[in-house]
Amino acid sequence: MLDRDGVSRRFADCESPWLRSFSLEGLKVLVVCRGPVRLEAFQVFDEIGVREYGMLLSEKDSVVYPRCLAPELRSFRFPQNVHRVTDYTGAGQEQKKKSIREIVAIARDFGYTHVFAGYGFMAEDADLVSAIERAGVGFMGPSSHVLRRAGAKDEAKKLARSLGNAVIPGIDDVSARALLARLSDRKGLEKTAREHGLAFSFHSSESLEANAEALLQAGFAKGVELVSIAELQKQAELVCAGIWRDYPTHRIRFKHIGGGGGKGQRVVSKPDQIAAAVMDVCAESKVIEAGSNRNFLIELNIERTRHNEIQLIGNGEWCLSLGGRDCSVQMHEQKLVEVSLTKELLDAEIERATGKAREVLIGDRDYLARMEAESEKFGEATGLDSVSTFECIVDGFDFFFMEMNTRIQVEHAVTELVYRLRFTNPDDASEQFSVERLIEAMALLAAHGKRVPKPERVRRHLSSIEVRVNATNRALQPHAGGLIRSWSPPLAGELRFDQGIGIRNPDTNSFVYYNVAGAYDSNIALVLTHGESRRENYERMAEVMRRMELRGDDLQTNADVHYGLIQWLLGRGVMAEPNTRFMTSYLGAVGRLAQVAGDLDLELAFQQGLRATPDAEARAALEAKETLLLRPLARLFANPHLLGGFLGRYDGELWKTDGAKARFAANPVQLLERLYHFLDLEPRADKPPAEQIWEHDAAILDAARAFYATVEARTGARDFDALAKLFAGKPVPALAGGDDALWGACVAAHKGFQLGLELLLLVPRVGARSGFLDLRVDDDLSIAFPEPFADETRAAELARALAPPPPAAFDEIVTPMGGTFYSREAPHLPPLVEEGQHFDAGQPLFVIEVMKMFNKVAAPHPGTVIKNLMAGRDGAIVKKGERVFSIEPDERREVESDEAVARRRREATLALLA
Amino acid sequence: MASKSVAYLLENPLAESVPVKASTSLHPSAAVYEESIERGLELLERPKRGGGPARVRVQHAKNRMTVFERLKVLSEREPNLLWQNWGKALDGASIVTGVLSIGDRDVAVYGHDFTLRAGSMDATNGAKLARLIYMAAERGIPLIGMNDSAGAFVPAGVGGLDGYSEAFTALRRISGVVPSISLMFGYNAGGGAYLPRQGSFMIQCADTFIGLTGPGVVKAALGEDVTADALGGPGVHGLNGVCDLTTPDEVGSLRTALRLLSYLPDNSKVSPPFRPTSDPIDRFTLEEDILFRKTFDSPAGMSAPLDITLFLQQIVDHGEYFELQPARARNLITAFGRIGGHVVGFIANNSAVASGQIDVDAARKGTRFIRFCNLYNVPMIFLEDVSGFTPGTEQETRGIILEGRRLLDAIIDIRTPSMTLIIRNAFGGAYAAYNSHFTGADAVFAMPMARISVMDAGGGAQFVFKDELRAIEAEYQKTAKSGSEAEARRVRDAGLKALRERYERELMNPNEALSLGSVSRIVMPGTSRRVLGEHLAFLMRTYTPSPMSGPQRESE
Repeated sequence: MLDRDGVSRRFADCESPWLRSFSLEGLKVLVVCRGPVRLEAFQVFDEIGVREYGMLLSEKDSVVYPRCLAPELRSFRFPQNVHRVTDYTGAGQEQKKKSIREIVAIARDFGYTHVFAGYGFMAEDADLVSAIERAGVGFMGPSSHVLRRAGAKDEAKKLARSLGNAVIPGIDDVSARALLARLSDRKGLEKTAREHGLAFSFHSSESLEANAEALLQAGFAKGVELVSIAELQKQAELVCAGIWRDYPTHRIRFKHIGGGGGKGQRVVSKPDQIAAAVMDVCAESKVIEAGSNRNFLIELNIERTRHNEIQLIGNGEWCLSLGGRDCSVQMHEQKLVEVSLTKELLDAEIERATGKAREVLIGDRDYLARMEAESEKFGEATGLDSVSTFECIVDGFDFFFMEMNTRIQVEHAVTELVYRLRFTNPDDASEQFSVERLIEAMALLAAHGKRVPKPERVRRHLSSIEVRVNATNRALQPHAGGLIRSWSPPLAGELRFDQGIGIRNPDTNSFVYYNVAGAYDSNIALVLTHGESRRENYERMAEVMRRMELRGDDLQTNADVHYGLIQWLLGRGVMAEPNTRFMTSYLGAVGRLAQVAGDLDLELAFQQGLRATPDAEARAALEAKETLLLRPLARLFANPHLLGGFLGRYDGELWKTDGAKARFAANPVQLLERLYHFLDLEPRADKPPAEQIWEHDAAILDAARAFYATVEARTGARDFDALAKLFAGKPVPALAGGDDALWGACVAAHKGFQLGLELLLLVPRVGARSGFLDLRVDDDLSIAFPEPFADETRAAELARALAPPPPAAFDEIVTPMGGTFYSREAPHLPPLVEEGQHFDAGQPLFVIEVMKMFNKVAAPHPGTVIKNLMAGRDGAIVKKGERVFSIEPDERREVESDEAVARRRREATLALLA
Repeated sequence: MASKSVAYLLENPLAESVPVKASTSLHPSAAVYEESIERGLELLERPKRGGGPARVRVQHAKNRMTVFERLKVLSEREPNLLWQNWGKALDGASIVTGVLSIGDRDVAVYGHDFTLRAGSMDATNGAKLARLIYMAAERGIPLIGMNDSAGAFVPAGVGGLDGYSEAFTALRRISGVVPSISLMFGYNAGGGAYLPRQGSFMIQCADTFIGLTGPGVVKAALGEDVTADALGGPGVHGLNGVCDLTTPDEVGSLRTALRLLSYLPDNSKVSPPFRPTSDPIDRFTLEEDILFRKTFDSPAGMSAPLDITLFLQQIVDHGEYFELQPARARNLITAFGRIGGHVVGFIANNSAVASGQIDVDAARKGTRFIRFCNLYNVPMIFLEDVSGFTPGTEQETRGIILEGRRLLDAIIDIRTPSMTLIIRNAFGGAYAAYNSHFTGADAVFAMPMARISVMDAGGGAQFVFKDELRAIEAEYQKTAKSGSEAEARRVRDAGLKALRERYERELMNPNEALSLGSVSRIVMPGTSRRVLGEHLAFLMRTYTPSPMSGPQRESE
């Protein structure tokens, strides 16, 4: 905590009896989670002076993977408090019960006063929390009664409705409603049951709807048709009419209960579409046949969904909201980026904004205020006595309550950077202290609960952002098994939660190689920065990601995805409001960029440039610039995420495009300089020479920079056209005095420095050709994706160019990723395919488990399995590209010859140069 | 600024600074003195220019650093370069030699300057290299070589070949005196490949080539069409054992060399660097126990494969170990690590790969590693879990007897402290050969589940229970004749199974070995680190590091 003067202190060391009464020295905390929050908790506990703490060490932390020992152990202060468990959670109910018994026993037997579960699965488990409470141990987190009220989704929604909170309007029982429309009451239900001979008895303790539902289930079981499609259509029309009364401009979504992957879904915007849509949903879900379960959900279609959440803290009597976080940048339902959303930030950004954007931000500030107010009410109603998160989806300025996460969130530090908590002695206003870490606040609440006065939130920084560094490839698919060999230490202003991977060997000070086995999930670290404006905040994050050096073997992370995206936002608009589908479309666009850039032959382009030189002198001068130009371009084109970031950042500033044409909007020397900087290739003493601009290239670039700086200072000429005019004209006395030779040298320098730079226009040309430059932030801050990127299916298809499958001969099937191999979906099931069996394109052939995700690998083309090369190796750890089956393909495909590839690339390159 | 009449200039004509003059003395001095000062400066500069800007650019265009840039990755300190103007052209003769401060150690380094005559070996630079190599041995400092050489300089004729001979000889002469690490950059053919392999360890990065001859010669001589990478890239040499480690790029190789160096002593008279540890030597490592339970509590039971590195990481300081030749023959793991601060060479059977049996490749890998440790005062710990040498036509054809024998020889020759911990299997010849008490181990320990035995249960029972077997067979014949064949077979099979189990129980355990003193004591799971660490500390206290001496043996 910080005292009145902002000095970091411990309660126990304070003179004031009031402050001292909040001492945390009596605490002995058992930490029962892993991930970045584990080490963070230890650090907070060290800071606030809890007496002792302990940790659980699971098998996956210690004996399942080599080089994957819990890194926290290297600096753990209480080795006697390391407790071994099989796992943190069990696979099934029995396992879970066993885990809970183990944890409770450890907590009790070793005299722990509290259990801390971070954001692990256990944190929201009412069974665990109750068991801990029953054992007389404190739970550092919301109590079980809070969990029961707020944790169960239907209960929470009921409570939210009763409090007048907005939830997504819609119904999930159209079939039951249709049935009751005809049968109306108990008698009707019982009569129908008798007529059809269905086992049904009316339970008067249940609602009429629930009884109707039970009868329907009995009907489905015997294949008896109780509700016709016509009745469903009619009922749907009634329900839709009701929704449209409140939301006249929205569309409505029908979703079959058994649907998935977009199948069995229709969206309607007008009443006359309803009947056909219901029919389509039933047909697509294959429930046309009489007696099938045709029930579907009817709900408001949220067009531009954003994901916002409010951080809450309370002690059961008071509840305080700590502003919001926008978590809309997600992929596969996993959050990737979280940014702070506070009144103070919006106030400041509204000042800066104009036009439509200003209106939008004002609307945002308004709904944020409402969302915060509702969340506080909800928190109070649940008796929240620790921290929780109130999660909403946002559509324009409307928000709908989704659920409350009754635990600390992964992204809690986003909030910590924007608000601190100030507590004041109710009996003596001169006594105050502040808390900046939510884990500390949780400890305080766990230890002193009702005695903790309601704090005020005090602005810390205006803006903060968190990016999640995950073990994924460039298409954001999980990639396990890489080995981290080094990781540059955090920069000043960078907050990095890395689970302790960066803790060096205390004896030798060497970086300890770490195997990203992905035992629990793909997250490696959380990286945060802050700023006094959104732009400054993002600039810092861009700098952090630019300088982050993560090296290793077979290591793939999403760090470049983050770097490219943040640069793109810095160029296109930091207040942009991506929705939850943004990332799919963005990846598609970057995928398209990868395809176009992949066809570019830089060597050929440079040779073309040499050929175009007028004489030997020009040729020699251009040759001297070969690495200066080609090296950064090659790096940029080889990494589509970096290319996308650079395009987004500097489009319009350094060049302008018109259709496929591009021209410089600034001196191209500046573009080259920015490119070197962007790629982190500028000279720096702590980097190996291979990762900096080569010395001879730096000499030319430095000379050019200095030359043009002098020219600008003396003549004012700065941009491309002005400079061209200047040096094409008569000698300029401001530069050369009356010295003709010096003027001649200046002209020669300009020609020399500019020579060959038109090659840099390939960057915007590739951007234009791929359509990537059409991605923009609109005036209303939404992000416009042109086709084909707007279409999720096509975008996903394009994104595959970011992680092309490993080279495989046509007559074998190889693993597309590393992970654990299984030939079958579950132990008791037969293998997906067997030797001699024929398979179709798209048919699942085997399963690779990566980070808890069971990826079914589909056949790329039809064929027959000749030999199973992985026989008897279920459960084996495999690498990407390992052979699984040798096969006989149905058709022999023409493989593009090297010559054909060369020809294609040549044509594409020449077209881009034209 | 010069007012040359050029159409393209890559310098700033408006720059104000004038190059600083070498001599800024206030006193006017004789022209001849000025000239000598200028010449002196030029001589100092000349080797640093290498082959000139155009050649440097070519090197960079291949994404390769120059030798001077590579030196910067090894140490932030300036190298102390020796014999800078060697060679008729006074340019250093395309090889850079010197002493580099790395941490608190002096290290001899050399590097070919590829920008100068493609780093080739000519009549004089072989001698320069040899001089550095001998100096390293004389001063007792390790050697790092950064190889990037096209081979012999053809115009130098026989002189180039002689240069190689001189360098070969020097490197062989210091083998066993100071350790060396050869880094392979660029394209190394012929002598350029042989020379560095005489060093202790070789590290190759991607986009490099090592081979007797390049793909061109291969095509001409054999008609074989092959890329340089498929002929001699790291994918090839990481698997055949020519290279000990492979990396993705030059920086990776240089940093890996530094990591490897941290486990190597300066020379054969001293021990490797000792680093006091904050990891308690007596910590009870429950993970060992969990690992074994997890492994053996599986359908395969006591025959379940065990990835030995999972055990290794439990017993070394802070879980850190450094594996050599990690891409090949992983049925035998060779790795450096520390216990209680002492560097240890681990030789561990890994039943997770090819059942952990010792085949030709594993034997070669182990032999080389043991001989290195033995020469350089590195104590060794053998983690034993092996059922034997790999039998069969392929192995016999490849000469498993020779290679297995070499491994045994290397073990017998060990003179540094060495211990063996028998974890599970220790059968027959493999037990006898694998650093047992009578091949010279200072201490042999066994875990309670150790199965020290002449052979496995199937074969063993045949020999030990001859009478019982005969009785079972007789019973079978009798019952079969008198009626139920099926019943007879069932009884016989049950009997045989019981015998095998009896063999396992009575003879596949550490008891006999303990009674004979072949095994010093039982080590309970969870206490391996303590037992090994404490005994190692005792052995190291009573060991005086010194160069190997005694008669040369015939093999290797």
